[in-house]
Amino acid sequence: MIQPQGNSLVRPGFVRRARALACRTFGAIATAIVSFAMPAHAQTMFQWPDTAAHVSHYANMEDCLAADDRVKRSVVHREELTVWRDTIPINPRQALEPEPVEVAKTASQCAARFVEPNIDIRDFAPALTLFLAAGRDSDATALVARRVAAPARNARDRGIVVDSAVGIYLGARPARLDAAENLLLHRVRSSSDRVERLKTYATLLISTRDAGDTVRSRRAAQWIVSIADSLTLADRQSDAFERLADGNGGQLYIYDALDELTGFRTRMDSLKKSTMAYATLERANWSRATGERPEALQIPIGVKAAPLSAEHWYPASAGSSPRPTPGHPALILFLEHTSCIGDASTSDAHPAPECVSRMAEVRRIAERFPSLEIDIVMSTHGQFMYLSPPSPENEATLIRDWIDAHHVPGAVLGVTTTQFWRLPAPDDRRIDKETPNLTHYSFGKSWKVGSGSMFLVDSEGIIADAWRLREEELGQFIEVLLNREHREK
Amino acid sequence: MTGRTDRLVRLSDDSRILSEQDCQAIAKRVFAFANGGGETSVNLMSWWNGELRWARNRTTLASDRRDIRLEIWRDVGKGRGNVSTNQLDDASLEAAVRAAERSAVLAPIIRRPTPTQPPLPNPERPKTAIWSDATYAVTPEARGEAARALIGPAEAKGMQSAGYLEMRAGSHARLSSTRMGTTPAPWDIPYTAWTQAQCSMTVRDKEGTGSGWAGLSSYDWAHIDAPALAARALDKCVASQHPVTLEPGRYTVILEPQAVCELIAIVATSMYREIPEQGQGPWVLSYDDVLGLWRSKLGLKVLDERITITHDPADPLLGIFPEPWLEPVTWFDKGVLTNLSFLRDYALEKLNVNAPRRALTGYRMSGGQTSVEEMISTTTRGLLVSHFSDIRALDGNSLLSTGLTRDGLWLIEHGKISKAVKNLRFTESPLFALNSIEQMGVPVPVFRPVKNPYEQEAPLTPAIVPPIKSRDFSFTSTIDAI
Repeated sequence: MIQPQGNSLVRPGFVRRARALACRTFGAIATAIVSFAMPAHAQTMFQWPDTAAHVSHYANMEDCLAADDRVKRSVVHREELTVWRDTIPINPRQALEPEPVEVAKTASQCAARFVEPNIDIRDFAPALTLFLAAGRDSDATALVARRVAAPARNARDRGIVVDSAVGIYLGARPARLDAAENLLLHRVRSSSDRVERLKTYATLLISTRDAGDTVRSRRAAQWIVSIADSLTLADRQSDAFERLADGNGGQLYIYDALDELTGFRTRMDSLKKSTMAYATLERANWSRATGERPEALQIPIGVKAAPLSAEHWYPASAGSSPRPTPGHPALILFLEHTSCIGDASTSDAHPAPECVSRMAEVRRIAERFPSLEIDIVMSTHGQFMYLSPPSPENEATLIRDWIDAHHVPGAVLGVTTTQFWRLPAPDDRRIDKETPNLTHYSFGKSWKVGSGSMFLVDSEGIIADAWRLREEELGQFIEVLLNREHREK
Repeated sequence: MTGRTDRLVRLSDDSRILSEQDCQAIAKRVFAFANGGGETSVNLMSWWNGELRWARNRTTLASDRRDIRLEIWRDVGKGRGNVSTNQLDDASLEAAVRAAERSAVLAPIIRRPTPTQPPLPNPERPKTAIWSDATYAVTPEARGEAARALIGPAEAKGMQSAGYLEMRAGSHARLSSTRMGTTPAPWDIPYTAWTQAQCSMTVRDKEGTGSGWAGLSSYDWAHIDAPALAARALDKCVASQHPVTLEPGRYTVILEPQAVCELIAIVATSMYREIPEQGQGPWVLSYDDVLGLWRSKLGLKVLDERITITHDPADPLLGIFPEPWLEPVTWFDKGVLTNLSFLRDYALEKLNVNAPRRALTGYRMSGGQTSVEEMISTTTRGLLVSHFSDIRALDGNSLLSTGLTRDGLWLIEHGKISKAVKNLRFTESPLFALNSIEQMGVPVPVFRPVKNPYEQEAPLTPAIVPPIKSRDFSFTSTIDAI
């Protein structure tokens, strides 16, 4: 039956609204039911992938060491963003400080799956490194014992194993001085070769002194001196002895040990008396170490310092009187801007780290001892950074600006115009002649002055030290010289 | 899809690469999106590559491509981030800049300020001929027509031909937000546009007994006579059919310019000062005990005195990228070694000059007036070499090298070409060949295209080389390949 159309048109408004409301409500309920009925996994929600490195899943030790190294480098990098280590004094006990927590934690997590008795002996070196980084020293000791006890073809091979273990112990942070010392002493006891034993003791002396362990270093020095007394002439003339100390000969080790035993305080006492007294002490040690005459000491201590020469002085008035100034202690620093400034071809000509640290050290000294004369000696090379200065004067000005930027209070800069000649064209290479300053401050073949060399000169113009110029010791040297000058006045 | 295609740059056929105005406009848009201060740099490269390759007389590839690469560097705080894109709409550029900024923040770099920073030198860039409207104007249809004209004669003679026709154009600009409109730094690259055309063709007979090749490259398509190249390749193929086997040994050789160029490429690899000054390579003289350094052969006669090899950036046939400090260089002057290339660090330290010496890439070699025909007519017994392939150095000190002859080798007897010869392997130093010259011909441009200068950032390497006749060139074995 067809309803008349007019019926709907006359339907009251509240009825239409009620129907519309019912439709909307029903629609919403239906949608909700459908939604609930849909399985949840049908929706693909974006999730960030897990990018965290789970080092505990790493299957081999090399991966662990690589991961540990990455963490270490990121920690160092993060620190270097805000701390420029080369501008602050060196921490003498740095080797005895532990690794940052993140580094140790990474090593610990990664090493957890490796159990010492199951380690293949061929993985000795990475396993030892990893155990030490993870702080598992007992496992490390057991591993080393197992490795050392393993059959070796000969004594030399066994010595190499011990050397490796010692190197890893000393390279770890903190350095395991106890373990390294035990291994070295074990090696010494099993060797009848005196030169070999001298070398082993020297290793111990150097590593313990670098780590700031004076008790151990003095003990090692005593052993060196004892073994030195037992060296025969044949021992001293052997190739093995000559090869020691990077080819400088074992006598340097002995001299070093004697110096260690003499003690810093004793040396300072002699310096307080006079520079020549200090020089006599050092020469006596040298003579005892080498059997040579005292004057043959290869370090220019007690030698008269030649006056510095330069064409360009900054400030200009500095050139009117001799330098170092007679009657006044002075610190002479040789620098070459070609060694100090990095890549010349770009604008990122960063200074070399050793120059940065040297300049920072000199700045601290200048601030601590305002009355100390500081003479910086440089020379021209026909280039500066990425420039080819038109004249030596121009280059000297650029050098002065560079030195000024390091803010060393009271420092005097002397720039020598380097004389040079060129190979015939078309080669045209520049051949620099040695400047008078370089000639006068180089002593024989064993003591060539170079960029970064420093000389401490007393008020009588005698070189008091040119060797042991570590900042904390240098400060004491300077203090003694300045006190002496004050007393003399 | 519309949204995606809109992001790509739209260039009409007459603007296949970005113009200088395009580059500056894009750079300004990028710079405007930067947040947080710091320098923004863009490296904008665009290129067009139209090519046609054929084999067995049928086209196997015909393409006309273009692309853009935009690299953005952002310095934000302590970090530097970079990103690459080829999408140049505003939204994409802004997203790229943001991405560069995010990567800068994520990877801070340690920046130690230099204590003092003298003003940077401002090197001049010479004008070089590297742009040709003729190359840029070649359409796909024109390449098709050219290929048809090249293939036709070979096909008509029943030969199989294969070849490659290519036209390239590119542009490059590296701009910095801190130096827009001011003096550029040496590492900035002012807008540079270049073209390169090449045509090469190999013709072989159906039996596979003869092969002929000819090719030429230039920045300018108008310099390449393609039909002449096709005719030459065809002639060589016909003449090289049914070769005989010849006993290896030392022969007087007439090297066509292409072969000479391929030999000199070995010499070019040694043209660096550091090599002899470290006691290595062919140009080391001896160790100077007094000075404590290695002396080189600079200034000494090392090649035949008729040989002079130079490069002048202003030479209209030797255009290479206009890099800073590009100057005319004479590498060999009448056989005397007069220059070896060096870096700027070396120049500053050892020579006290603020300019590097660019490597030997493009060059012009001196020659004589003797034609190849005259060389043949004055040869009692020798070999005519079209060109070499697969050359490699065996000994860095003598430059002893080995390689194969290719696409045409003929025996000359009593002043005439007597027969085609099977290919031979040579084992010889190019220095020996260049010191045993009997005659030299007129230098001509040779085939020396750069595969993709845009991607390799390699300079264009045009060369103008003469044919030479050299005695006692050593061949050490026969090769079956034609």
